Amino acid sequence: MDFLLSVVDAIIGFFRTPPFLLGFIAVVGLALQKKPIDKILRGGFLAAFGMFIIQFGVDVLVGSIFPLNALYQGLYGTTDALPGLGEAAYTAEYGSVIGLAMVTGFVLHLGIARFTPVKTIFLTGHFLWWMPFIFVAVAVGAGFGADWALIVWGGVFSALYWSFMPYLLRPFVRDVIGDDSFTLGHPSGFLALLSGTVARYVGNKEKSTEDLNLPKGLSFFREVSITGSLVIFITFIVSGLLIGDFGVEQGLVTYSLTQGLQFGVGLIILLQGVRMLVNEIVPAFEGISSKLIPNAQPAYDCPLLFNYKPNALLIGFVVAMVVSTALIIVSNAFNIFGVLLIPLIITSFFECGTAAIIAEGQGGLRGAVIGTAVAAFAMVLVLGLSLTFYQATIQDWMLIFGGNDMSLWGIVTGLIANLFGGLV
Amino acid sequence: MKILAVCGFGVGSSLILKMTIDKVLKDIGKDADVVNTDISDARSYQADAIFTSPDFVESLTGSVKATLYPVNRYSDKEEVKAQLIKAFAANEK
Repeated sequence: MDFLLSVVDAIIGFFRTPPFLLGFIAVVGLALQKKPIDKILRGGFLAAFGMFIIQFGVDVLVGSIFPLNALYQGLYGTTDALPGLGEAAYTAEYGSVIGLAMVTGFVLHLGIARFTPVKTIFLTGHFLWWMPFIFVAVAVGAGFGADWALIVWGGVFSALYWSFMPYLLRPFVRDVIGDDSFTLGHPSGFLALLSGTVARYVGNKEKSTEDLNLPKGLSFFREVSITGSLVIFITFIVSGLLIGDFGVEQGLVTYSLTQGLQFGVGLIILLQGVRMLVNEIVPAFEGISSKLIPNAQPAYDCPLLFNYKPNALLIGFVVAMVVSTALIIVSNAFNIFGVLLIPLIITSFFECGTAAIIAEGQGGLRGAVIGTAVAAFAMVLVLGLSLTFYQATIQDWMLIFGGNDMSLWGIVTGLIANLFGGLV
Repeated sequence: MKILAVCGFGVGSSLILKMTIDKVLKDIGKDADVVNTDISDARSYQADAIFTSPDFVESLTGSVKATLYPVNRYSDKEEVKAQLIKAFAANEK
């Protein structure tokens, strides 16, 4: 009997270790596609490696901006630099729950597509991971204790998100790409709906962003690891000059440059991990859904829109970066959100760039500029308001990747979760 | 033949492009090793052909040995097929 129990314990321990569980999910997915055994084993290993690498990458990434928060919190006399688990500890502890919520959510999502008119299939791999990741975080923050409750909670909200947000975006995407071949599956969602709607009223379709001749050098900004490093470097320099020194020996410029590089490195490591993980899982999800729901519309990652309006993307990024950084400076100066906000490079580029493309489709150049400016305002606002719901878990991560649907739905589901907290 | 599918982040849309390439390969009965990655990593990668957006074709020109093939619509099998046929023809020479 003891032996049997220890076997059961070992199996549970195996599945509670995120890299093993995700590797196992990849193996099942590849087996369902009837891949040869060597490909199945290889995929299982790669997914497990990927999951490990993600944890390291986020450690490096979050570590690079940590001194900024410590500096800022010192200014306002709080001792805890950032309360809560932090992303790395959260993923290590809840990774398996998130993995199971992802699978549960995807099954529900397929059910919605099979049995309702909302026939969208979400195929943006990293957000198949990150949506349950944030929904589970919100529930943990609200005091959910039982694993099953976290899995159901994360699965249900992820499924609703994956189905309905791309569905709402369909008419806007159609105006950009000219047909119904795909819709958008990306947390730019509400920012794109907002900028598109604003652009429809204030825009002017006669003058397009794509008629402008932008300098070629601007596409340099499309390499996010480089842009990110530069912005973090500047943020450190400015903070060091305005708020006070970081207590380091090597001088402000060298130190800031090191932190900037570390940010870029963290991003590169993180992306490598995410790539290895989702590459083994998404094709399986795609294969299964195309068999079960042949007439579904796929929802793809936002860069699939980039080639349709590359100028709008860059204009959107610049507008969002300027507007949001100005707002961030104001909110930091007055300590509005109680946490130091950092320039939102990634969200400004991907989310607001996408919002600008959608807005361009509704109201030309003027629509894109005004729509994106409004979206950038909303981005900073939802980020600031959502932080309290992530305080116990992934606040550090949210400061880098938030300000989008992951913030908005964090607030909405956080308010709901607080009603149930402590019950399950 | 080794094909690289490239996008800015190397995670979402390059995977879509990779899946489209894989599907077309199956349709035309050819075999190739397809890997997806981001624009920075692409420069350090050994490949025979690189499929990416026209913008990135421009920024990669001169810094990679592989032949570059622009693709506008990553999920469009016809567009990918046309480029893939060109890539195979160039590779067999």
